[in-house]
Amino acid sequence: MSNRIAQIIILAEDQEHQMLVRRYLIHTGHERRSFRFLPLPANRRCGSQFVRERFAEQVKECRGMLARGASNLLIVITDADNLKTTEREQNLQAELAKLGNDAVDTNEPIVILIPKWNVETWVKCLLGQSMDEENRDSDRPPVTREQITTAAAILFAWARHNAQPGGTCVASLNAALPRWRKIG
Amino acid sequence: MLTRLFCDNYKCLVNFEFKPTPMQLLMGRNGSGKSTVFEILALLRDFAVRGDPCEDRLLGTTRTRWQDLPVQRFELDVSGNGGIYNYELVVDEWGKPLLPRIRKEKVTFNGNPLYLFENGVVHLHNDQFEDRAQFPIFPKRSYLYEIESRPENAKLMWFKNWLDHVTVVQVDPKAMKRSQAQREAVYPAPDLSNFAEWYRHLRQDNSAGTDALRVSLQEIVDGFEGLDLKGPQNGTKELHVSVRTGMGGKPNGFTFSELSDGQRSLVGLYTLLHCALVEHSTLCIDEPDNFIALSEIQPWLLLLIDRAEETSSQIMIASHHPEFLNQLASRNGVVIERSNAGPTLPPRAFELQNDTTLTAAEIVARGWNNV
Repeated sequence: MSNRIAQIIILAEDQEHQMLVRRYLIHTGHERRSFRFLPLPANRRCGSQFVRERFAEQVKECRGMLARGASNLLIVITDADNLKTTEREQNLQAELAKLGNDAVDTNEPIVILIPKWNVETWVKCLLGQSMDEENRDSDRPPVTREQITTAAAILFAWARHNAQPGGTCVASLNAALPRWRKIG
Repeated sequence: MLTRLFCDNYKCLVNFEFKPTPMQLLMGRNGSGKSTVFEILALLRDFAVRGDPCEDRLLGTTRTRWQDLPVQRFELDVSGNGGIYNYELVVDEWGKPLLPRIRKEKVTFNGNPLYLFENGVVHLHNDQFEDRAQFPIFPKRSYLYEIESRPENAKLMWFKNWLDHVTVVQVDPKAMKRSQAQREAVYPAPDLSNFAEWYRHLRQDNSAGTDALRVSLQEIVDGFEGLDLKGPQNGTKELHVSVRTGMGGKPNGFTFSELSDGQRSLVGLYTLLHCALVEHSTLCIDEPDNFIALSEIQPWLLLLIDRAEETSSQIMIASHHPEFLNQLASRNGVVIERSNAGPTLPPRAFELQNDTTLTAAEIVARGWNNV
């Protein structure tokens, strides 16, 4: 009876990450029922490790689908924590290398999103708060669902072609905007 | 929003306190007391605002078996309307044969009285908390049910309205098979067995909800066009499902009872989502995953969360299904458990101390963390 086919697979480390991506996807006009959010880790403190351990198998599945002629998109979102965003991405790519797979190419339908420290940094800067990515945000009140909803709308505006990101846009988000744009 | 439930001497719940969050997944083994928590909410709602007598569902076989206490106590704390409501109900036994009676019933707002029944006398307070009327009642039914909206009792009516919008459901598609709607049903039955009659009411009362329901079902069910009630204006109507089938997309009608169990479940779940979630309501669903396709669970759950956010509503789900565990347990999971078949223990957050990268469903499947 159901005609649901998941075409956008999201590997995220926590609910906030999922929600930012989901809200953004809705703004881009993707059909809600095409989203498939992969399980979250039971232990929230192990989110980055959880994503890293599952990254390679999801890239492999994505490539397999493409090889069978089925379009799909894999979105991976994980915090850099105390690493640089490039280091976190290298960690992910290393997981592919371990299995003898090629690194993710920019032309592939795979989007890797890595906020420095955590996704709350992105949400807060999207909401107009000045954030310092050089130092961990010691004041970390959790962001609310309503704030993430608002932030996603702003993110969609910032990521559009020829758009100018707001003055509070942090470097890791600025670098990721072309990747967000790739989603749609 | 319900912020606290206290219960003593009801089935496995002894001195039991539960502080739910806006989105809550109740986890726990079979027989741990998850459904009993929902049962109490439905019971208090039916008793306090829908006029049920206390002898039907209180004391008797519902008291905790290994105790011999003649008193049951219940409390609810509810945040809303700019403050905290507290509802308290104490039931004991009286007469020959012994029958349950209300010993005390009270509603307060920020600690100030709005309603009190004690020593056989009702005290009605106004919005300034002044005791404006006293009279005796027979302590079998709650007088709260009788109180109608007046300019001076807006605070009390807010609480009544909230409690009236507590929906507790376990969708049972086999019980939903009846397509006939003899009349309108304002409330859904606990198993949605009166779905056709409830839908008949919703068509009149909540056209925005039923319109949204139709759009959702069109996305889910191939060829779905709509739910129609056919029959005379004031007589029994029959619920039909209009579906375009075959290569030509020819419209066909089926009675609601002809749908599969899974399809009826989906219709029920999406109706709850679009029509039972109204502003500041609380929706409790026991095992919503029964009968429905795995691929349909997550889209429904995510839409449910969206809808709860839009309506500032509260969702409580009891489920063993991996899909719910893996999406909700780490943040919204609370474990309900018992020790040695004794009373249910204080609920605890589903928190893990070790650095596992397993999913919540896998941890539960292994029986770890005592879930």
